[in-house]
Amino acid sequence: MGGLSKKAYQLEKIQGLYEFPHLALDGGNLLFKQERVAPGLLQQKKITAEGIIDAYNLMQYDAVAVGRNDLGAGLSFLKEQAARAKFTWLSANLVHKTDKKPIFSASLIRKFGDLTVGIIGLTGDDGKVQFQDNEDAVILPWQDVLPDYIADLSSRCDLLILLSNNTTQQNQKITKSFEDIHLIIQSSPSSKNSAPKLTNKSLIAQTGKQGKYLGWMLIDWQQSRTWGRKGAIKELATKKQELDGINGRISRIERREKEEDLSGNSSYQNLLQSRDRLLSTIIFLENELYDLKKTGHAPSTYENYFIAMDIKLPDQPDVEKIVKKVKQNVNQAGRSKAAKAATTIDNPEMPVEKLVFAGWKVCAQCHQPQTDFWARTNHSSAYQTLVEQEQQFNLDCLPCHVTAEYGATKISDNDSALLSLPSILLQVGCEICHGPGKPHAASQAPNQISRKPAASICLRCHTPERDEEFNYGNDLVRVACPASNR
Amino acid sequence: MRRLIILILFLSLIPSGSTIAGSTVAGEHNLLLFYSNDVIGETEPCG
Repeated sequence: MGGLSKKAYQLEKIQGLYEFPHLALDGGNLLFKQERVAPGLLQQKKITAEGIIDAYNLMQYDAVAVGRNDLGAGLSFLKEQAARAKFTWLSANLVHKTDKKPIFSASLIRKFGDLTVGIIGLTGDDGKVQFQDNEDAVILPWQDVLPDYIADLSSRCDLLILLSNNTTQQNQKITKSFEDIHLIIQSSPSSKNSAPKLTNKSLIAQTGKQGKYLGWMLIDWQQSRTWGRKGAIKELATKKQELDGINGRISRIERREKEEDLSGNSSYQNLLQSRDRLLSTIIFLENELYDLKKTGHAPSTYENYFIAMDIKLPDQPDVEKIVKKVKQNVNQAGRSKAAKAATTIDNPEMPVEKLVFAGWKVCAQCHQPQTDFWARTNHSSAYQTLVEQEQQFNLDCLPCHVTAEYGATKISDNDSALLSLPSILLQVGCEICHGPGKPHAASQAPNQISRKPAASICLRCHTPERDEEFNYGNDLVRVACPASNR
Repeated sequence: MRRLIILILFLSLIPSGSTIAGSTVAGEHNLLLFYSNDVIGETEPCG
């Protein structure tokens, strides 16, 4: 959620640049990464989810569609959060099993002067959402619910927007069935931004996964209620730019040459002719657009932008405070858990002998040059960065900053063990690349240790989402230890 | 000079209401729409 304060800053900035009415919408999957949060992570995930709601309240979002991942801590938790939210959670197809009525709002209407905008929410259903027996909820297919809502809203609204976390394929089908939907903001599992694309009569747009981008559109909505080809308007803008250029060149020649010499200056005369031709075209295009607007047939147009939530962007101070508080609370929750586990990080009584990982000090006994090299890499200080960020008890962060997982061997699944590792495992140590070292340390048999990690070992943590620039071949060279004689 | 006068005349003929960002024609509405999705993710700064 680190990008939220940057997103909030950009929202404020852009709103300040335009005096237009604005809407802030989210396609869903806002609160959790999974459809069911693991019990051990529930407490800290709920703290984060509450912080996201607080941030969205401050950012004055209008509506968010209920995504499957928003149900990750159960329906009752989402209901509690919806009650705190100043924006509307929308889902037309997440309904009570009994009466088939929506659990959250199905739609929302916003009025801006004489422009009425209708927004409908749709929860994607891939059949994987399993509700608890005591949860009176079911996700209906969109085909069952949309016809009535769209018939109702299209008669009352000028612009109709659907927030949908269905797949692109499903959303394309929706555009085929319902021509009255003008815009779909989707939250499909794609990791890339998708600029608005005209599909049948609707635009479909989405920002990339994991909140790394903010999308914004300047919409010029016309009576025709149809999206138009941008060609005429683009052409007009290009011609105007060309005219500016030609006028500049004409002015420069006029300043340089005497008036009586201009009639014999062929470049100058050519430029004048070009200017006349351009003016005729511009006037033609302007008049064409003006006539279309007057008769209500002008196409609606938009400009679309994506802003990457780069770490260098400024933060909105109030949202930044929320993010900081959430991080503190998450760490505190982990710290309390660690205390409950009745061990501490450096507890010498931690049963190291029960762990499959030996720790870097054991490796150093035979591989000192390699250990010295490793000590100079970022891997050796990975845990320290968590300490500096005060996130050393964050169960989400820990598995990639300590020695607790290699392939199928995991102590990171055990929250208590993860929170009370001995200090020799509080690094991304030798065994993260080479595998659990205890058997090899005991036998010194080369076949009991892996020399080179497979890409999948690195990609457990260096995922594209966390480390966009990771390149297995190049980065392996950077961390490869000097050759061992042993 | 004559060409300059013609240019000014031409430009004055272009209806001001027909500019892209203008809002003088009935039925036209400007709207600023922000959109996002999937906010929670791997972007939490662990360190």
